[in-house]
Amino acid sequence: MGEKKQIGELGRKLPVDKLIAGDKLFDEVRGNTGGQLFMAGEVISENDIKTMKNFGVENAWVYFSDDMKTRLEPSESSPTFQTIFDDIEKDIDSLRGAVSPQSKLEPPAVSTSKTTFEAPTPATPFQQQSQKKTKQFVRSAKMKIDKVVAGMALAEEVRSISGAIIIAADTILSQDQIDRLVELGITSVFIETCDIPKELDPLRKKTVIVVDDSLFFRHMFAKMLYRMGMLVCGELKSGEEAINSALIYKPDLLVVDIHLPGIDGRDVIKKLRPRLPNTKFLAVSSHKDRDTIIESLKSGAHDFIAKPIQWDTLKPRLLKLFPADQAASSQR
Amino acid sequence: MGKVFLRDGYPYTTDEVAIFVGITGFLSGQLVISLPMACACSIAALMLMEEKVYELDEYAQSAIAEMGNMITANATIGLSEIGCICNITPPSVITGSKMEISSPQKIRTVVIPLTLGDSKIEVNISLIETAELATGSNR
Repeated sequence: MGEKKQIGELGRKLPVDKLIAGDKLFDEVRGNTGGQLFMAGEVISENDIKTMKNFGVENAWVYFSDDMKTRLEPSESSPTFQTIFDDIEKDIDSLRGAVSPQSKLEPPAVSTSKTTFEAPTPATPFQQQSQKKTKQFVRSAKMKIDKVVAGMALAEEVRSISGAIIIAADTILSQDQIDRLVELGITSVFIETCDIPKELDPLRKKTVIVVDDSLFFRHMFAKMLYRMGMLVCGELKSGEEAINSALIYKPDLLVVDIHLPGIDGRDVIKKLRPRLPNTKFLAVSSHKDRDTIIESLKSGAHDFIAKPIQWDTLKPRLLKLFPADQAASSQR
Repeated sequence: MGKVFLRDGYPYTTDEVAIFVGITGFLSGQLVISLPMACACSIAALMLMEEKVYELDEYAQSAIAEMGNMITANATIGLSEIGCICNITPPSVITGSKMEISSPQKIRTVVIPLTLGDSKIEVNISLIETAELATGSNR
């Protein structure tokens, strides 16, 4: 795993409600795939550390979210929330030094009740507080697993740890997904490295938008794509949404049901294909008659798959759309 | 599969979960799949590739509806092969207890009983030729 990195290294704040849709998640930590973000104030247990090791995580960053403001009660003796940020920006090097490579976070007595994060007093700089972090950090309320799954199409597995969810490293989140995180009260995320078979390397990190009026289909297709290492940046239910989002995100792949209410899939492909020359279009439908297939291909789709879609059918089709030799030459 | 039978008449009662799919075209009517809640949750779990589904939330409902969609769509493909071109409507999932189904047109209902583990599922098929429906003459 290489040199052991420090846990608790402070980075720039990335509160969930400030994530920018379309940008690569945690852009500031680019090149650190497999890193994890923890919200300041979180209790890291032995189990969390084991999970990180299992996922091959080497780095971790701590950030503060804006909702911490509501929990902090500035007093005469303690600085305001903003001052804490200012202190962090200034003392970042000394704060790194406060967590030695040998230090290991000991599992604290886990408290299920919410307690507030104690703001450090001016007389006790933050670096002194961080050395006692196991006593300071607390867990936020747990989320029901099924509620979090409903909100996160990207996360294949969800851990109800501190109200956090696990998502793939380098994920691109859409605005809808970010809104959903906020709505669910999720304040922190863990980035998971996905174990993808080598043969699917050409698909890795390819961005996809899925368009279908069936919630089930959107959800399951996204799940299959995620398991192939692709990044689902949108799950949309109408042609209009598809056109708007595709022009913003410029995905590598657009999967669209031919039969949509309003603007149908064929029109979506006809409108987008000239404007997105680098995007592949995959038409899907539960109708697999000859006319439907021909109409789909005539509209500009690169391929057509009939529903229900099986893993064994989808995999070779996607590899045909994104062959290995092209992936090697256009690697990001 | 149990023995296929014709319902005596209306109204009839469905189980806790009922999936409705309308049929139009050469034939008019509906397909109603009736099953217990626990069975619906099990099917949803399988379809969603989840370990367990505890309640029929929007994802589970969508999965169950999709099941109704797939069953009916495949049936209409079979019908089209014998010259009965039909279309289906988007499915609806209705949950409740002792739901009663009535049909003003008194379209006859064929029932296909199925067993899935300990659960009983009924596929109620109520169809009539659209031409007959238009003239008001029911067989």
